[in-house]
Amino acid sequence: MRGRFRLPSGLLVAALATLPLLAAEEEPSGPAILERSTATVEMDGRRWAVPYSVTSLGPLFSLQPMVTSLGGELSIGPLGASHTLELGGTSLLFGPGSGVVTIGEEIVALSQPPASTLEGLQVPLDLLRRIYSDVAGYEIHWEAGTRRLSIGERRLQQLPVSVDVVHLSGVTTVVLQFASEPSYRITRSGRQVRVQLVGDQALLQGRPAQNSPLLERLDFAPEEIVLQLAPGVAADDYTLAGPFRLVFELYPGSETTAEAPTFRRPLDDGREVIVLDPGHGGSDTGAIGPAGTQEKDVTLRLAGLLAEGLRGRLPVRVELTRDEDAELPLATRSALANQAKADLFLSIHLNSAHGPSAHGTETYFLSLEASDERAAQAAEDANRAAGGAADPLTDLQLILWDMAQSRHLASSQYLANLIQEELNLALDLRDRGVKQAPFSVLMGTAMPAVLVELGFLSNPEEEQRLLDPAYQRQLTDALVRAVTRFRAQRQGSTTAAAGSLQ
Amino acid sequence: MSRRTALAIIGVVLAVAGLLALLARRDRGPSPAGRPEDGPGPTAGPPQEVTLYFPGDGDRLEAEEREVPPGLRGPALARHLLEALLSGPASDGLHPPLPEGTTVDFVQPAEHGMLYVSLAPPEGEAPPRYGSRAEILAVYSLVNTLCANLPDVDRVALLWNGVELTTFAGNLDTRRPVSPEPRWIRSPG
Repeated sequence: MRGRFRLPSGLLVAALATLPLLAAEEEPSGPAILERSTATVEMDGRRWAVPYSVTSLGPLFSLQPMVTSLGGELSIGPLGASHTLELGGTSLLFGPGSGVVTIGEEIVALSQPPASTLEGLQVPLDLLRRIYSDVAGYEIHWEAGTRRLSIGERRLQQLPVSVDVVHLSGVTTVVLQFASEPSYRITRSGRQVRVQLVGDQALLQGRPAQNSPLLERLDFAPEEIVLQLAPGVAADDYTLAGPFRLVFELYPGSETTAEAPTFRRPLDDGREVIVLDPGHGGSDTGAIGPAGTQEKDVTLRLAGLLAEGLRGRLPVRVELTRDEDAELPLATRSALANQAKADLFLSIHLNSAHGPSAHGTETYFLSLEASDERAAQAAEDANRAAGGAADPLTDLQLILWDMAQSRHLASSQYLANLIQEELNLALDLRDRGVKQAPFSVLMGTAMPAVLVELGFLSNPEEEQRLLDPAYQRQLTDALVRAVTRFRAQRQGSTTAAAGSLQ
Repeated sequence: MSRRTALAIIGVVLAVAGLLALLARRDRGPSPAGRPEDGPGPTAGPPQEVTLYFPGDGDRLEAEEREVPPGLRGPALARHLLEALLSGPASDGLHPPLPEGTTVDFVQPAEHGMLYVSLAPPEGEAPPRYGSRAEILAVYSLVNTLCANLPDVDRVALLWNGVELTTFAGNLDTRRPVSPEPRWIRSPG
């Protein structure tokens, strides 16, 4: 059967066919490579060479030779965009051009994106350390002058740890103070937060008085410290230096998570999650109107209003991908939504055209069909040329993380229709309709997702209207009504489906 | 005319022709090794007609018919079309797809009907930051024009300075080759 899930196979073949060409030219979305050379890796008296490159942000090392020598199972997504490394029960997801790595459920920023090169994927030193120091417990030292990467087994240290638990104004602070900075990782499962030491052992210096209603228990073992949270409690963590302290702030989730600017570890309180994405931010201004209005500022304002409206009207948790003027890569925006297990993703934008006359609102959902049809044809041609039949396993692999949206296109289209309908009803705007386009921010979202253009900044009159608070409220009220109708329809479908099964 | 005079005239003609050829080559800019775009060049015969799609004042691309030298095909024709788009339309109410000063870095065909097009923003500037509609029309101005006039091309991979970017001008995904979309072209009438 030729269904939608088959389509990306074409992309796979097309992308693979073009990788050598791309690799010869560039590293996607990363700084320019200033030098290509070979570094020497030393470990247990052995030496081997590893290709490396230097950019303005530091060195990049070929990953595959490290995996071969140090362990792990590296798999590469069919498009070459996603690399998954399984190591010691931890899964790390990263890719060329992406400035973040997902470690388990945590997203961590990198000093620079990995780069796709002729020698395969090259990764920055901090990612190497994330993998082989934090997860596998090796010590890694880089000497730029001699181009030598020394890797050694970490010597087991017994680190004295003192613990403080303070409960004040409804927030509990747990401080783990170490004699020196340990190698550790934090994992979360249900109500448990585990601090696992990698290659070190904790030596507890006396038991703390635990009198927090938010912390049920604190368990110690040499390799692990476990915080057992009370039901409905969320925990954020951060570190302090001099001496090294690992701090957890515990708070009732329902009171505080709504305003969190980021949501690295969302509280699963059973409510539906809606992620709002104010377009652009930081040095990425987005479109700029003739009067100088910057898209990034208005989208932030509109997303804030929409969040207020949704929280006031619906029993949902609303998260913003950014709540300040911050630059956020497009992939991170969709990754945040996926991580929050969002039920809905709305990316808020303002439009611009080449001329000043275009005006009105339009709503987009992701377009995959056109290019995929051709890519599928290319894949078939390639299969035929290779004299082989399509491998069913390959087809299964086509459900890529970065094409996750393909499963939700129908719902996304329905949501887009409702949004456009409500905007048309509420506003005297030209109906520019629902459209499809290959928007990057929608590509990786694994839930119904749309991008709304709430007016043209390139139109001088519309630019002024978009700055009017009353008009902004009209726009966001229309979006709230659309989301309300969408939820009602989905709940109705679910109920009907459940009824038909009984 | 003496034999010596005739030789002198031929020598002058050859020198002028050589100089003109050199100037023409300089106008085209350097041609790096490995660029296959200096394919078939103009030949004798009537000019060939092509269609360029420029962003209009409204929300669609609009067609403009042009004539190009006969015999121009493949990557050389692709570069010619792109440079014509970047130079701007002849008609009122239409716009060049990208900011003035944007140039064609290289054009390179690949398998399966794909064409790599690398553009270079004006010196010292980043790729443009457009709203979605302007970005859509910019991308499909290039892609629809190339695919409409080059029978062997049905997808275009867009690069900036030879680098594949996650997004072309802030919104559209350009990690994958882009296929033409006739729906962005305004219907006649």
